[in-house]
Amino acid sequence: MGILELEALNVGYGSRAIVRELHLEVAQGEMVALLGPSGGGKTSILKTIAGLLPPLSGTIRINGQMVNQVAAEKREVVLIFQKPLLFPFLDVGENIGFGLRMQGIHGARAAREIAEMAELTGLGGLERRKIQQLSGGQQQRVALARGLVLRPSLLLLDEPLSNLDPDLRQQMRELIQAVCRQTRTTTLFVSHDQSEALMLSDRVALLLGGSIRQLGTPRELFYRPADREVAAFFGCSNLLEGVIMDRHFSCAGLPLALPLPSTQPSAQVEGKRCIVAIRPEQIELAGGGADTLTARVESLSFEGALTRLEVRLGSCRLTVLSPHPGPSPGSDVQLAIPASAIHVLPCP
Amino acid sequence: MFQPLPESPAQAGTAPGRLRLLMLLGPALAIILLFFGGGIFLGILQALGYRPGAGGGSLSLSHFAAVFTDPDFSTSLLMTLYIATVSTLAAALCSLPLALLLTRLAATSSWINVILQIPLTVPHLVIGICISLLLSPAGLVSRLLSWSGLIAGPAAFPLLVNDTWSVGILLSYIWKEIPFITFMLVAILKNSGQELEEAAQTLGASPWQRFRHVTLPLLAPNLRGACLIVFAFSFGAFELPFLLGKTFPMVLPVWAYRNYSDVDLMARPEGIAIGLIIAAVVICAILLSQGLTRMTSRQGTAR
Repeated sequence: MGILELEALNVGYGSRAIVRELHLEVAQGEMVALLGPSGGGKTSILKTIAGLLPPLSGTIRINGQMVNQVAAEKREVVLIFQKPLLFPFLDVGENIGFGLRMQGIHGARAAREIAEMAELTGLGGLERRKIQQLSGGQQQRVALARGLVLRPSLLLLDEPLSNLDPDLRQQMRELIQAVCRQTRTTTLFVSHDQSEALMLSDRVALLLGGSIRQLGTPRELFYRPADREVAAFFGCSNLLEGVIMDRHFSCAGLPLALPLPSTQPSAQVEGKRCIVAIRPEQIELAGGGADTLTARVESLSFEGALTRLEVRLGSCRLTVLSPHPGPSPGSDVQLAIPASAIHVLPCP
Repeated sequence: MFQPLPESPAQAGTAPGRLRLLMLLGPALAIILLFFGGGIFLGILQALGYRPGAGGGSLSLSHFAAVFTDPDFSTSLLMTLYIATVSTLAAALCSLPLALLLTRLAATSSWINVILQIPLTVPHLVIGICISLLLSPAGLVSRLLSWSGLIAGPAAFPLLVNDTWSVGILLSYIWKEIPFITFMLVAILKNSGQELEEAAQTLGASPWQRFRHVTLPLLAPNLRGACLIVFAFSFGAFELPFLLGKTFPMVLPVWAYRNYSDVDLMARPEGIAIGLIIAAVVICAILLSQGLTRMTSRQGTAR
């Protein structure tokens, strides 16, 4: 059982707040990502929830109980750090069982729970190994097992994958997701890697400039950003300013008005100046036709699965991510911008 | 096709790796072998009765026997053990909380660090003289106390120098060794102590449990090492007991020095024999400590 509620939480050191007025609720068994650029105070938020850092103001509730004054060791919150931070003088099994030992759980019961958790995290048979004999990925799994064996109300993960190489990271992501789902552990994790946050979490809270800018499902944040900074964070560089008339967006530089998607409620936006965001990978290179626009390729960079094109369309510059590596700089391409690619940012 | 990467030449198993290792170790090894090994070898020869100036002489264990059968030997040995053990333990007991405090006060501890570095730079001889000037019956403290009327007169001041319990010697050693042990511990604590403690805390460890199950085992190897160095030094050091000790019983190093510098050249081999006995006791202490470490770590894994 684990429900986390943060109300007007101010986090920081001394009198300097790094994160202001944080409101967040994490439901039982939910996995929420705190996403944001490095140095944005994400680790400090986790430390504050865990009780390692006193909050400047605001309340932290776990299962409905305010825990501001509760010592870290009594909060039933486990924080898994960026570094494994294993105890070098204990072996793998003893590390996993550390928390149980602190609770006075010894003998057969502890041994059974340690073995179970080692099995679950893919460490079966390594219990007697020394920490120094493990690889980085194995050490991080010991850290995870060491926390989960306590069946915490709340699991906090502080970029536990950032020190691992890409292959291992993918494995660990799947492991964390599987284990947390299986144990129904409420999890709040911190990441600066958007794909990690989008893939792992049920909901994402984007932290920009010391406050939560948008909170929602991964798809909402990615396809329906709340403002231009959120859009830019997720790599949507096509932001056009214009007017909405008759469910069509027109902008001074564009030769054609773009139809809005049918999902867009028109009442609030009709007749207003707005900014629309168009995801670069949703713009298609077409063979030509009635609704296509002719654009000139200004530059191009091959990025593997996709090719990034900078194109000029009228007086607008757009970025297109296309699976076709074909066009060359200076040539003309036909662009199709489907209505579903257009997202109108909420008007101020 | 991919070729397997050539093995790094620094790997210890390969021939060039071993050569490099030897070259790196060479200078230090040469000095140790030449001066330390050579010195010990000559010392053993002389302690066995070899006299280069007097046409050789026969080799025997008689000088060792003379030392061991001397009725004052056991008193001297106990006295030396007492000073070395008590000063080491006291310094360790003071250093542990000090190191913890220093790590907590990371931001404000720079001036404490400077103060702590002072004892490290002051030679033992100077400390000995200072303690003597401060704590002797006619010393500064005694005179200040009697002048202010807190004690009746200099005669009422307790004997702290050249005394039965070697208080002056112990105080000097403790003052000198606390910073040494503290810095050895702070290095470890600064490196990973606080983070490991935080990890333990979120795993439910109370302050006492964090100290007992995280900080102490983390510091144990360094604490043990530092204590051994301090013990070995104070067991074999000569200046402080010479300046601040009683004339009887003498600690072993002073006794060795007295014999070695005696006008009677016949006493010299005995002095060297005592020196070798000091070295043997220190080596025994190191072996004992290693044995204990191995035993406790085996108990740890058996649990």
